[in-house]
Amino acid sequence: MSMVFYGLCLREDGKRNQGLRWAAIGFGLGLANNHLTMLMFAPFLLLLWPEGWLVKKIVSKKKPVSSKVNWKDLIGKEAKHFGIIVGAILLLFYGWMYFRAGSELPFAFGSPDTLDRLLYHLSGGAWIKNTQAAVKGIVGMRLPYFLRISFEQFFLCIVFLVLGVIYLITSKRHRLWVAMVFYFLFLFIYQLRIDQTADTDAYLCTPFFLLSALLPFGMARLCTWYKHVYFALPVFVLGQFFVHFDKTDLRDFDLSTALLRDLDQSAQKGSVVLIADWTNIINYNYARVHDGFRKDLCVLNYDLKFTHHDLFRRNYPEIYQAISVSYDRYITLLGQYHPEEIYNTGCTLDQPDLIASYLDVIRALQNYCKNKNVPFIADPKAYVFLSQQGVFPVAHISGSYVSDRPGIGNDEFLKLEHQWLNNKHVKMDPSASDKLVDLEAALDFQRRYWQQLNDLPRAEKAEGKYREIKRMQNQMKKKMKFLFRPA
Amino acid sequence: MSSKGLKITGAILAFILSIAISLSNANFSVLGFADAAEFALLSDLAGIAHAPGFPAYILLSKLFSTVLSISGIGHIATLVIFSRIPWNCLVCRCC
Repeated sequence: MSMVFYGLCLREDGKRNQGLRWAAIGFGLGLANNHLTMLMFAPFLLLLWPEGWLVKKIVSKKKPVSSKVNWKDLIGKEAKHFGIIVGAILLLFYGWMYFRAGSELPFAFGSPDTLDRLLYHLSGGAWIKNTQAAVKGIVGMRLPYFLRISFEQFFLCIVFLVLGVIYLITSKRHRLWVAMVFYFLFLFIYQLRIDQTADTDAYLCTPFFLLSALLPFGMARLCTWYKHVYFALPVFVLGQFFVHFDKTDLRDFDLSTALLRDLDQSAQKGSVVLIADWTNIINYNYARVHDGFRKDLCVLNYDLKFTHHDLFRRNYPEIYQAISVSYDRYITLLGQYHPEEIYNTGCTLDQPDLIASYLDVIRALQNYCKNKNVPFIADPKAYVFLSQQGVFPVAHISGSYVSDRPGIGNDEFLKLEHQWLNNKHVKMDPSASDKLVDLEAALDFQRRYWQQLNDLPRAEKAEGKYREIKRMQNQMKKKMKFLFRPA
Repeated sequence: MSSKGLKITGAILAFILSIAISLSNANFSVLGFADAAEFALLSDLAGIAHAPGFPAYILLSKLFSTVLSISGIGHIATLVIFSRIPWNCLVCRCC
Protein backbone atom coordinates (compact mmCIF):
# COMPACT_ATOMS: atom_id res chain seq x y z
CA MET A 1 0.00 0.00 0.00
CA SER A 2 2.87 2.35 0.75
CA MET A 3 4.30 1.66 -2.71
CA VAL A 4 0.94 2.41 -4.35
CA PHE A 5 0.63 5.65 -2.46
CA TYR A 6 4.22 6.58 -3.19
CA GLY A 7 3.49 6.02 -6.88
CA LEU A 8 0.38 8.17 -6.70
CA CYS A 9 2.35 10.94 -5.00
CA LEU A 10 5.05 10.79 -7.71
CA ARG A 11 2.36 11.19 -10.35
CA GLU A 12 1.04 14.13 -8.41
CA ASP A 13 4.55 15.57 -8.54
CA GLY A 14 4.56 15.35 -12.32
CA LYS A 15 6.59 12.11 -12.55
CA ARG A 16 3.82 10.19 -14.24
CA ASN A 17 5.70 7.20 -15.61
CA GLN A 18 7.79 6.66 -12.51
CA GLY A 19 4.66 6.95 -10.38
CA LEU A 20 2.79 4.51 -12.58
CA ARG A 21 5.55 1.92 -12.17
CA TRP A 22 5.66 2.25 -8.37
CA ALA A 23 1.89 2.09 -8.08
CA ALA A 24 1.72 -0.95 -10.36
CA ILE A 25 4.46 -2.80 -8.48
CA GLY A 26 2.75 -2.05 -5.15
CA PHE A 27 -0.64 -3.09 -6.48
CA GLY A 28 0.80 -6.29 -7.95
CA LEU A 29 2.57 -7.22 -4.72
CA GLY A 30 -0.64 -6.52 -2.81
CA LEU A 31 -2.61 -8.80 -5.13
CA ALA A 32 0.03 -11.50 -4.66
CA ASN A 33 -0.49 -11.27 -0.93
CA ASN A 34 -3.86 -10.60 0.72
CA HIS A 35 -5.56 -9.70 -2.56
CA LEU A 36 -8.94 -8.82 -1.03
CA THR A 37 -7.66 -5.73 0.75
CA MET A 38 -6.00 -4.60 -2.47
CA LEU A 39 -9.03 -5.37 -4.67
CA MET A 40 -11.18 -3.29 -2.33
CA PHE A 41 -8.75 -0.44 -2.82
CA ALA A 42 -9.01 -0.64 -6.63
CA PRO A 43 -11.99 1.78 -6.94
CA PHE A 44 -10.11 4.32 -4.82
CA LEU A 45 -6.97 3.85 -6.87
CA LEU A 46 -9.02 4.78 -9.91
CA LEU A 47 -10.36 7.78 -8.04
CA LEU A 48 -6.85 9.01 -7.26
CA TRP A 49 -5.32 8.09 -10.62
CA PRO A 50 -5.97 11.41 -12.38
CA GLU A 51 -3.68 14.07 -10.90
CA GLY A 52 -4.93 16.98 -8.88
CA TRP A 53 -6.10 15.19 -5.73
CA LEU A 54 -3.30 16.67 -3.61
CA VAL A 55 -1.21 19.48 -5.11
CA LYS A 56 -3.54 21.30 -7.43
CA LYS A 57 -1.55 24.55 -7.68
CA ILE A 58 1.78 22.97 -8.53
CA VAL A 59 0.30 20.68 -11.12
CA SER A 60 -1.78 23.44 -12.65
CA LYS A 61 1.40 25.48 -13.28
CA LYS A 62 2.86 22.73 -15.40
CA LYS A 63 -0.27 21.51 -17.04
CA PRO A 64 -3.84 22.58 -16.45
CA VAL A 65 -5.74 19.76 -14.86
CA SER A 66 -9.42 19.36 -15.33
CA SER A 67 -11.43 18.46 -12.27
CA LYS A 68 -13.19 15.86 -14.43
CA VAL A 69 -11.74 12.38 -14.66
CA ASN A 70 -10.18 11.72 -18.04
CA TRP A 71 -11.42 8.18 -18.71
CA LYS A 72 -9.67 8.00 -22.06
CA ASP A 73 -6.33 8.15 -20.26
CA LEU A 74 -7.40 5.50 -17.81
CA ILE A 75 -8.30 2.90 -20.39
CA GLY A 76 -5.56 3.88 -22.77
CA LYS A 77 -1.80 3.59 -22.74
CA GLU A 78 -1.41 3.96 -18.98
CA ALA A 79 -3.88 1.19 -18.23
CA LYS A 80 -1.97 -1.15 -20.55
CA HIS A 81 1.35 -0.24 -18.94
CA PHE A 82 -0.14 -0.69 -15.49
CA GLY A 83 -1.79 -3.98 -16.46
CA ILE A 84 1.42 -5.42 -17.91
CA ILE A 85 3.41 -4.73 -14.72
CA VAL A 86 0.66 -6.06 -12.43
CA GLY A 87 0.14 -9.10 -14.68
CA ALA A 88 3.87 -9.89 -14.72
CA ILE A 89 4.06 -9.76 -10.92
CA LEU A 90 1.00 -11.97 -10.53
CA LEU A 91 2.34 -14.43 -13.07
CA LEU A 92 5.66 -14.53 -11.27
CA PHE A 93 4.28 -15.16 -7.79
CA TYR A 94 1.20 -17.28 -8.54
CA GLY A 95 3.11 -19.14 -11.26
CA TRP A 96 5.75 -19.99 -8.68
CA MET A 97 2.99 -21.16 -6.32
CA TYR A 98 1.51 -23.39 -9.04
CA PHE A 99 4.83 -25.14 -9.65
CA ARG A 100 5.82 -25.24 -5.98
CA ALA A 101 2.60 -27.09 -5.16
CA GLY A 102 4.01 -30.14 -6.90
CA SER A 103 6.86 -30.48 -4.36
CA GLU A 104 6.68 -33.02 -1.54
CA LEU A 105 7.10 -30.65 1.41
CA PRO A 106 6.46 -31.65 5.04
CA PHE A 107 3.76 -28.98 5.11
CA ALA A 108 1.45 -27.92 2.29
CA PHE A 109 -1.88 -26.15 2.04
CA GLY A 110 -4.46 -26.31 -0.72
CA SER A 111 -2.22 -28.07 -3.26
CA PRO A 112 -2.90 -25.61 -6.12
CA ASP A 113 -1.11 -27.75 -8.70
CA THR A 114 -4.07 -27.93 -11.08
CA LEU A 115 -5.95 -25.00 -12.58
CA ASP A 116 -9.17 -25.90 -10.69
CA ARG A 117 -7.41 -26.11 -7.36
CA LEU A 118 -5.35 -22.98 -8.06
CA LEU A 119 -8.54 -21.02 -8.75
CA TYR A 120 -10.20 -22.50 -5.64
CA HIS A 121 -7.20 -21.49 -3.54
CA LEU A 122 -7.03 -18.02 -5.06
CA SER A 123 -10.71 -17.42 -4.53
CA GLY A 124 -10.39 -17.92 -0.80
CA GLY A 125 -10.66 -21.70 -0.50
CA ALA A 126 -12.46 -23.05 2.53
CA TRP A 127 -12.25 -19.62 4.22
CA ILE A 128 -14.81 -18.18 1.82
CA LYS A 129 -17.57 -20.11 3.64
CA ASN A 130 -16.89 -18.03 6.75
CA THR A 131 -17.32 -14.81 4.82
CA GLN A 132 -20.61 -15.93 3.27
CA ALA A 133 -22.31 -17.41 6.33
CA ALA A 134 -24.98 -15.17 7.82
CA VAL A 135 -24.90 -15.26 11.62
CA LYS A 136 -27.73 -13.51 13.38
CA GLY A 137 -26.60 -10.60 15.52
CA ILE A 138 -22.90 -11.00 14.71
CA VAL A 139 -22.45 -7.38 13.60
CA GLY A 140 -23.95 -6.06 16.84
CA MET A 141 -21.74 -8.34 18.90
CA ARG A 142 -18.53 -7.40 17.11
CA LEU A 143 -19.17 -3.69 16.59
CA PRO A 144 -18.21 -2.41 20.09
CA TYR A 145 -14.89 -4.28 20.06
CA PHE A 146 -13.89 -3.10 16.60
CA LEU A 147 -14.98 0.46 17.31
CA ARG A 148 -12.80 0.35 20.38
CA ILE A 149 -9.70 -0.94 18.59
CA SER A 150 -10.21 1.65 15.84
CA PHE A 151 -10.44 4.37 18.48
CA GLU A 152 -7.37 3.05 20.32
CA GLN A 153 -5.42 2.91 17.09
CA PHE A 154 -5.47 6.70 16.93
CA PHE A 155 -6.40 7.58 20.52
CA LEU A 156 -4.74 10.94 21.32
CA CYS A 157 -4.26 11.63 17.63
CA ILE A 158 -7.93 11.15 16.80
CA VAL A 159 -8.33 14.90 16.97
CA PHE A 160 -5.86 15.21 14.06
CA LEU A 161 -7.80 12.58 12.17
CA VAL A 162 -10.95 14.68 12.39
CA LEU A 163 -9.06 17.91 11.66
CA GLY A 164 -7.39 16.19 8.70
CA VAL A 165 -10.74 15.35 7.14
CA ILE A 166 -11.98 18.90 7.78
CA TYR A 167 -8.80 20.34 6.25
CA LEU A 168 -9.14 18.20 3.12
CA ILE A 169 -12.82 19.10 2.77
CA THR A 170 -12.21 22.81 3.19
CA SER A 171 -9.26 22.74 0.78
CA LYS A 172 -11.44 20.82 -1.69
CA ARG A 173 -9.27 17.73 -1.81
CA HIS A 174 -12.39 15.61 -1.82
CA ARG A 175 -10.98 12.60 -3.66
CA LEU A 176 -8.27 12.11 -1.06
CA TRP A 177 -10.43 12.08 2.06
CA VAL A 178 -13.12 10.02 0.31
CA ALA A 179 -10.52 7.37 -0.62
CA MET A 180 -9.08 7.19 2.89
CA VAL A 181 -12.30 7.26 4.86
CA PHE A 182 -14.43 5.09 2.58
CA TYR A 183 -11.72 2.45 2.13
CA PHE A 184 -11.63 2.15 5.92
CA LEU A 185 -15.43 1.95 6.12
CA PHE A 186 -15.60 -0.67 3.35
CA LEU A 187 -13.22 -3.03 5.11
CA PHE A 188 -14.53 -2.24 8.57
CA ILE A 189 -18.07 -3.21 7.60
CA TYR A 190 -16.90 -6.19 5.52
CA GLN A 191 -14.97 -7.82 8.35
CA LEU A 192 -17.67 -7.09 10.94
CA ARG A 193 -19.97 -9.65 9.29
CA ILE A 194 -17.42 -12.46 9.46
CA ASP A 195 -18.03 -14.85 12.31
CA GLN A 196 -14.44 -15.51 13.26
CA THR A 197 -12.82 -15.15 16.65
CA ALA A 198 -9.40 -14.20 15.34
CA ASP A 199 -7.68 -12.77 12.28
CA THR A 200 -10.32 -10.45 10.84
CA ASP A 201 -8.83 -7.42 12.59
CA ALA A 202 -5.86 -7.88 10.24
CA TYR A 203 -8.12 -6.60 7.44
CA LEU A 204 -7.89 -3.22 9.13
CA CYS A 205 -4.09 -2.92 8.80
CA THR A 206 -4.13 -1.23 5.40
CA PRO A 207 -7.11 1.06 6.14
CA PHE A 208 -5.43 2.14 9.39
CA PHE A 209 -2.28 2.87 7.43
CA LEU A 210 -4.21 5.04 4.98
CA LEU A 211 -6.16 6.78 7.73
CA SER A 212 -2.89 7.60 9.49
CA ALA A 213 -1.95 9.62 6.39
CA LEU A 214 -4.71 12.03 7.45
CA LEU A 215 -2.85 12.93 10.64
CA PRO A 216 -0.26 15.27 9.03
CA PHE A 217 -3.12 17.18 7.39
CA GLY A 218 -4.79 17.57 10.78
CA MET A 219 -1.52 18.70 12.31
CA ALA A 220 -1.01 21.16 9.47
CA ARG A 221 -4.52 22.53 10.06
CA LEU A 222 -3.73 23.09 13.73
CA CYS A 223 -0.44 24.78 12.87
CA THR A 224 -2.22 27.23 10.61
CA TRP A 225 -4.27 28.31 13.64
CA TYR A 226 -1.53 28.24 16.29
CA LYS A 227 1.91 28.43 14.72
CA HIS A 228 3.91 27.50 17.84
CA VAL A 229 1.92 24.34 18.48
CA TYR A 230 4.32 22.73 15.99
CA PHE A 231 6.75 22.07 18.84
CA ALA A 232 4.09 20.31 20.94
CA LEU A 233 3.08 17.83 18.24
CA PRO A 234 5.69 15.17 19.18
CA VAL A 235 4.01 15.03 22.61
CA PHE A 236 0.97 13.42 20.98
CA VAL A 237 3.08 10.81 19.23
CA LEU A 238 5.12 10.06 22.35
CA GLY A 239 1.93 10.00 24.46
CA GLN A 240 0.52 7.41 22.11
CA PHE A 241 3.70 5.37 22.55
CA PHE A 242 3.56 5.44 26.34
CA VAL A 243 -0.16 4.67 26.52
CA HIS A 244 0.05 1.69 24.17
CA PHE A 245 3.44 0.31 25.13
CA ASP A 246 2.08 -2.20 27.69
CA LYS A 247 -0.65 -3.42 25.35
CA THR A 248 1.85 -4.24 22.66
CA ASP A 249 4.63 -5.48 24.92
CA LEU A 250 5.36 -9.07 23.94
CA ARG A 251 8.61 -9.53 25.82
CA ASP A 252 7.06 -11.92 28.35
CA PHE A 253 4.80 -13.54 25.77
CA ASP A 254 5.81 -17.21 25.79
CA LEU A 255 2.84 -18.80 24.04
CA SER A 256 4.58 -21.19 21.65
CA THR A 257 7.23 -22.29 24.15
CA ALA A 258 4.59 -22.81 26.87
CA LEU A 259 2.40 -24.93 24.57
CA LEU A 260 5.31 -27.02 23.39
CA ARG A 261 6.57 -27.45 26.95
CA ASP A 262 3.11 -28.75 27.91
CA LEU A 263 3.22 -31.21 25.03
CA ASP A 264 6.76 -32.27 25.86
CA GLN A 265 5.88 -32.92 29.51
CA SER A 266 2.59 -34.67 28.72
CA ALA A 267 3.61 -37.02 25.91
CA GLN A 268 5.67 -40.14 26.55
CA LYS A 269 8.16 -41.27 23.95
CA GLY A 270 6.52 -42.39 20.71
CA SER A 271 2.99 -41.24 21.65
CA VAL A 272 0.33 -40.68 19.03
CA VAL A 273 -1.26 -37.30 19.78
CA LEU A 274 -4.53 -35.94 18.43
CA ILE A 275 -4.96 -32.16 18.62
CA ALA A 276 -8.00 -30.04 17.79
CA ASP A 277 -6.41 -26.61 17.93
CA TRP A 278 -4.73 -24.77 15.07
CA THR A 279 -2.30 -22.71 17.18
CA ASN A 280 -1.09 -25.79 19.01
CA ILE A 281 -0.62 -28.09 16.05
CA ILE A 282 0.94 -25.55 13.71
CA ASN A 283 3.42 -24.52 16.42
CA TYR A 284 4.36 -28.19 16.87
CA ASN A 285 4.84 -28.55 13.11
CA TYR A 286 7.06 -25.48 12.99
CA ALA A 287 9.19 -26.72 15.89
CA ARG A 288 9.37 -30.25 14.46
CA VAL A 289 10.40 -29.16 10.97
CA HIS A 290 12.59 -26.21 11.90
CA ASP A 291 14.14 -27.32 15.20
CA GLY A 292 13.66 -31.11 15.15
CA PHE A 293 11.44 -30.91 18.24
CA ARG A 294 10.06 -34.26 19.51
CA LYS A 295 10.32 -36.13 16.22
CA ASP A 296 9.47 -39.30 18.12
CA LEU A 297 5.84 -38.16 18.39
CA CYS A 298 3.10 -38.60 15.83
CA VAL A 299 1.06 -35.41 16.21
CA LEU A 300 -2.13 -35.35 14.16
CA ASN A 301 -4.76 -32.75 13.59
CA TYR A 302 -8.30 -33.82 14.62
CA ASP A 303 -9.10 -34.38 10.92
CA LEU A 304 -6.13 -36.81 10.76
CA LYS A 305 -4.79 -35.42 7.47
CA PHE A 306 -4.09 -31.78 8.52
CA THR A 307 -3.77 -29.48 5.50
CA HIS A 308 -3.05 -32.13 2.85
CA HIS A 309 -3.99 -35.81 2.77
CA ASP A 310 -0.44 -36.86 1.84
CA LEU A 311 1.24 -35.24 4.86
CA PHE A 312 0.55 -38.34 6.97
CA ARG A 313 2.55 -40.56 4.58
CA ARG A 314 5.31 -37.96 4.20
CA ASN A 315 5.79 -37.22 7.89
CA TYR A 316 4.95 -40.54 9.56
CA PRO A 317 5.71 -43.26 6.98
CA GLU A 318 5.93 -46.09 9.51
CA ILE A 319 2.56 -45.36 11.12
CA TYR A 320 1.00 -44.71 7.73
CA GLN A 321 2.11 -48.18 6.65
CA ALA A 322 0.35 -49.67 9.67
CA ILE A 323 -2.97 -47.90 9.11
CA SER A 324 -2.91 -47.26 5.36
CA VAL A 325 -5.96 -49.42 4.54
CA SER A 326 -8.34 -47.53 6.81
CA TYR A 327 -6.66 -44.15 6.20
CA ASP A 328 -6.84 -44.44 2.41
CA ARG A 329 -10.51 -45.45 2.59
CA TYR A 330 -11.25 -42.42 4.78
CA ILE A 331 -9.45 -40.10 2.35
CA THR A 332 -11.24 -41.66 -0.63
CA LEU A 333 -14.64 -41.12 0.96
CA LEU A 334 -13.77 -37.60 2.11
CA GLY A 335 -12.58 -36.83 -1.42
CA GLN A 336 -15.91 -38.07 -2.81
CA TYR A 337 -18.13 -36.06 -0.46
CA HIS A 338 -15.95 -32.98 0.04
CA PRO A 339 -13.23 -32.94 -2.62
CA GLU A 340 -11.65 -29.69 -1.42
CA GLU A 341 -11.17 -30.96 2.14
CA ILE A 342 -8.48 -33.52 1.34
CA TYR A 343 -6.23 -30.59 0.35
CA ASN A 344 -7.22 -28.29 3.21
CA THR A 345 -7.91 -28.44 6.93
CA GLY A 346 -11.20 -29.76 8.28
CA CYS A 347 -13.39 -32.75 7.65
CA THR A 348 -17.16 -32.50 7.42
CA LEU A 349 -18.26 -35.87 8.78
CA ASP A 350 -21.81 -35.59 7.51
CA GLN A 351 -22.22 -39.06 5.96
CA PRO A 352 -22.59 -42.33 7.91
CA ASP A 353 -19.93 -44.19 5.88
CA LEU A 354 -17.58 -41.23 6.14
CA ILE A 355 -17.78 -41.00 9.91
CA ALA A 356 -17.45 -44.80 10.15
CA SER A 357 -14.27 -44.65 8.08
CA TYR A 358 -12.91 -41.82 10.26
CA LEU A 359 -13.54 -43.86 13.41
CA ASP A 360 -11.88 -46.87 11.76
CA VAL A 361 -8.69 -44.82 11.38
CA ILE A 362 -8.88 -43.86 15.07
CA ARG A 363 -9.24 -47.52 16.03
CA ALA A 364 -6.35 -48.45 13.74
CA LEU A 365 -4.20 -45.80 15.43
CA GLN A 366 -5.19 -47.10 18.86
CA ASN A 367 -4.31 -50.66 17.78
CA TYR A 368 -0.96 -49.40 16.53
CA CYS A 369 -0.34 -47.77 19.94
CA LYS A 370 -1.36 -50.97 21.72
CA ASN A 371 1.00 -53.07 19.61
CA LYS A 372 3.88 -50.64 20.09
CA ASN A 373 3.00 -50.06 23.75
CA VAL A 374 2.87 -46.28 23.36
CA PRO A 375 0.15 -43.94 24.62
CA PHE A 376 -2.68 -42.58 22.47
CA ILE A 377 -3.40 -39.11 23.75
CA ALA A 378 -5.73 -36.29 22.75
CA ASP A 379 -6.25 -32.69 23.73
CA PRO A 380 -9.50 -31.98 25.62
CA LYS A 381 -11.47 -30.89 22.51
CA ALA A 382 -10.46 -33.95 20.49
CA TYR A 383 -11.07 -36.19 23.50
CA VAL A 384 -14.63 -34.91 23.96
CA PHE A 385 -15.45 -35.68 20.32
CA LEU A 386 -13.86 -39.14 20.40
CA SER A 387 -15.51 -40.08 23.70
CA GLN A 388 -18.89 -39.00 22.29
CA GLN A 389 -18.25 -41.40 19.41
CA GLY A 390 -17.39 -44.17 21.87
CA VAL A 391 -13.78 -44.61 20.76
CA PHE A 392 -12.05 -43.32 23.89
CA PRO A 393 -13.55 -45.48 26.65
CA VAL A 394 -10.75 -45.27 29.24
CA ALA A 395 -9.40 -41.81 30.05
CA HIS A 396 -6.52 -40.67 32.24
CA ILE A 397 -5.06 -37.22 32.48
CA SER A 398 -1.60 -36.57 31.12
CA GLY A 399 -0.67 -32.95 31.78
CA SER A 400 -2.88 -30.83 29.57
CA TYR A 401 -3.91 -33.89 27.53
CA VAL A 402 -6.08 -36.98 28.01
CA SER A 403 -4.42 -40.36 27.65
CA ASP A 404 -5.57 -43.95 27.27
CA ARG A 405 -3.26 -44.92 30.14
CA PRO A 406 -1.95 -43.22 33.31
CA GLY A 407 -0.12 -40.16 32.10
CA ILE A 408 2.82 -37.97 32.99
CA GLY A 409 3.49 -34.27 33.54
CA ASN A 410 0.48 -33.58 35.77
CA ASP A 411 2.34 -31.78 38.55
CA GLU A 412 4.28 -29.74 36.00
CA PHE A 413 1.08 -28.73 34.22
CA LEU A 414 -0.58 -27.71 37.49
CA LYS A 415 2.15 -25.11 37.98
CA LEU A 416 0.68 -23.50 34.85
CA GLU A 417 3.89 -21.73 33.94
CA HIS A 418 2.31 -19.79 31.10
CA GLN A 419 3.67 -16.26 31.29
CA TRP A 420 1.50 -15.20 28.36
CA LEU A 421 -1.58 -15.42 30.57
CA ASN A 422 -0.35 -12.31 32.40
CA ASN A 423 0.40 -10.37 29.23
CA LYS A 424 -1.78 -7.29 28.72
CA HIS A 425 -1.92 -7.81 24.98
CA VAL A 426 -3.53 -11.23 25.45
CA LYS A 427 -6.46 -9.78 27.36
CA MET A 428 -7.29 -7.66 24.30
CA ASP A 429 -6.72 -10.38 21.72
CA PRO A 430 -9.70 -12.47 20.56
CA SER A 431 -7.28 -15.19 19.41
CA ALA A 432 -6.52 -15.97 23.05
CA SER A 433 -10.05 -17.20 23.66
CA ASP A 434 -9.50 -20.57 21.97
CA LYS A 435 -6.44 -21.27 24.06
CA LEU A 436 -8.25 -20.25 27.24
CA VAL A 437 -11.04 -22.71 26.42
CA ASP A 438 -8.42 -25.47 26.03
CA LEU A 439 -6.75 -24.60 29.33
CA GLU A 440 -10.12 -24.38 31.07
CA ALA A 441 -11.05 -27.86 29.80
CA ALA A 442 -7.64 -29.34 30.71
CA LEU A 443 -7.84 -27.92 34.24
CA ASP A 444 -11.44 -29.11 34.54
CA PHE A 445 -10.26 -32.65 33.75
CA GLN A 446 -7.44 -32.26 36.25
CA ARG A 447 -9.64 -31.11 39.14
CA ARG A 448 -12.25 -33.85 38.55
CA TYR A 449 -9.58 -36.52 38.18
CA TRP A 450 -7.86 -35.66 41.45
CA GLN A 451 -11.22 -35.30 43.22
CA GLN A 452 -12.14 -38.83 42.14
CA LEU A 453 -8.81 -40.12 43.43
CA ASN A 454 -9.35 -38.13 46.63
CA ASP A 455 -5.99 -36.36 46.14
CA LEU A 456 -7.16 -33.14 47.73
CA PRO A 457 -3.96 -31.02 47.49
CA ARG A 458 -3.78 -31.57 43.72
CA ALA A 459 -7.55 -31.14 43.35
CA GLU A 460 -7.37 -27.80 45.17
CA LYS A 461 -4.45 -26.65 43.08
CA ALA A 462 -6.29 -27.55 39.88
CA GLU A 463 -9.44 -25.84 41.20
CA GLY A 464 -7.48 -22.63 41.90
CA LYS A 465 -5.94 -22.53 38.42
CA TYR A 466 -9.30 -23.40 36.85
CA ARG A 467 -10.91 -20.43 38.58
CA GLU A 468 -8.08 -18.15 37.42
CA ILE A 469 -8.80 -19.08 33.82
CA LYS A 470 -12.54 -18.65 34.28
CA ARG A 471 -11.96 -15.19 35.75
CA MET A 472 -9.85 -14.24 32.75
CA GLN A 473 -12.50 -15.53 30.38
CA ASN A 474 -15.17 -13.46 32.13
CA GLN A 475 -13.02 -10.33 31.80
CA MET A 476 -12.59 -10.98 28.09
CA LYS A 477 -16.28 -11.73 27.68
CA LYS A 478 -17.17 -8.25 28.91
CA LYS A 479 -14.90 -6.62 26.33
CA MET A 480 -15.58 -9.06 23.47
CA LYS A 481 -19.14 -10.29 23.52
CA PHE A 482 -18.72 -12.30 20.35
CA LEU A 483 -16.40 -14.67 22.23
CA PHE A 484 -17.54 -17.54 24.42
CA ARG A 485 -21.14 -17.26 23.23
CA PRO A 486 -23.32 -20.38 23.13
CA ALA A 487 -23.09 -22.32 19.85
CA MET B 1 22.16 22.00 6.34
CA SER B 2 20.18 22.34 3.12
CA SER B 3 16.45 21.77 2.99
CA LYS B 4 16.96 18.48 1.15
CA GLY B 5 19.53 17.36 3.72
CA LEU B 6 17.13 18.18 6.53
CA LYS B 7 14.39 16.17 4.88
CA ILE B 8 16.63 13.14 4.42
CA THR B 9 17.91 13.37 7.99
CA GLY B 10 14.33 13.62 9.22
CA ALA B 11 13.31 10.60 7.19
CA ILE B 12 16.23 8.52 8.47
CA LEU B 13 15.44 9.55 12.05
CA ALA B 14 11.77 8.67 11.57
CA PHE B 15 12.76 5.27 10.19
CA ILE B 16 15.23 4.50 12.99
CA LEU B 17 12.93 5.78 15.72
CA SER B 18 9.89 3.87 14.52
CA ILE B 19 11.76 0.60 14.08
CA ALA B 20 13.49 1.05 17.45
CA ILE B 21 10.16 1.61 19.19
CA SER B 22 8.58 -1.29 17.37
CA LEU B 23 11.40 -3.69 18.23
CA SER B 24 11.76 -2.45 21.83
CA ASN B 25 8.88 -4.62 23.06
CA ALA B 26 9.09 -7.45 20.53
CA ASN B 27 9.78 -11.06 21.39
CA PHE B 28 12.45 -12.60 19.18
CA SER B 29 12.04 -16.25 20.05
CA VAL B 30 8.34 -16.99 20.44
CA LEU B 31 5.49 -17.33 17.97
CA GLY B 32 1.97 -16.10 18.62
CA PHE B 33 -1.58 -17.24 18.06
CA ALA B 34 -3.23 -18.55 14.92
CA ASP B 35 -1.20 -18.23 11.72
CA ALA B 36 2.13 -16.94 13.10
CA ALA B 37 3.72 -20.40 13.16
CA GLU B 38 2.26 -21.26 9.74
CA PHE B 39 3.96 -18.29 8.11
CA ALA B 40 7.18 -18.93 10.04
CA LEU B 41 7.18 -22.54 8.85
CA LEU B 42 6.40 -21.57 5.27
CA SER B 43 9.03 -18.86 5.17
CA ASP B 44 11.45 -21.62 6.10
CA LEU B 45 10.16 -24.13 3.53
CA ALA B 46 9.10 -21.65 0.84
CA GLY B 47 5.79 -23.46 0.74
CA ILE B 48 2.16 -22.50 0.18
CA ALA B 49 0.06 -20.88 2.88
CA HIS B 50 -3.69 -21.07 3.38
CA ALA B 51 -5.89 -19.44 0.75
CA PRO B 52 -5.06 -17.38 -1.23
CA GLY B 53 -1.49 -18.61 -0.69
CA PHE B 54 0.30 -15.31 0.09
CA PRO B 55 3.20 -16.06 -2.30
CA ALA B 56 4.61 -12.52 -2.12
CA TYR B 57 4.86 -12.59 1.66
CA ILE B 58 6.28 -16.13 1.71
CA LEU B 59 8.97 -15.45 -0.88
CA LEU B 60 9.99 -12.05 0.49
CA SER B 61 10.20 -13.36 4.06
CA LYS B 62 12.18 -16.38 2.80
CA LEU B 63 14.58 -14.02 1.05
CA PHE B 64 14.84 -11.77 4.09
CA SER B 65 15.38 -14.62 6.56
CA THR B 66 17.95 -16.27 4.29
CA VAL B 67 19.91 -13.02 4.02
CA LEU B 68 19.71 -12.26 7.76
CA SER B 69 20.48 -15.85 8.78
CA ILE B 70 23.97 -15.33 7.35
CA SER B 71 24.54 -12.90 10.21
CA GLY B 72 23.52 -15.59 12.71
CA ILE B 73 20.21 -14.02 13.72
CA GLY B 74 17.59 -16.66 14.57
CA HIS B 75 14.76 -17.48 12.19
CA ILE B 76 11.91 -16.12 14.33
CA ALA B 77 13.92 -12.98 15.06
CA THR B 78 14.45 -12.33 11.35
CA LEU B 79 10.71 -12.69 10.75
CA VAL B 80 9.91 -10.29 13.59
CA ILE B 81 12.30 -7.75 12.12
CA PHE B 82 10.88 -8.34 8.62
CA SER B 83 7.31 -7.79 9.77
CA ARG B 84 8.12 -4.75 11.87
CA ILE B 85 10.23 -2.76 9.48
CA PRO B 86 8.31 0.44 8.72
CA TRP B 87 8.24 -0.34 4.99
CA ASN B 88 6.40 2.86 4.21
CA CYS B 89 9.37 4.91 5.49
CA LEU B 90 11.74 2.71 3.57
CA VAL B 91 9.79 2.86 0.33
CA CYS B 92 8.86 6.50 0.39
CA ARG B 93 12.14 7.94 1.60
CA CYS B 94 14.93 5.66 0.51
CA CYS B 95 13.87 5.41 -3.13
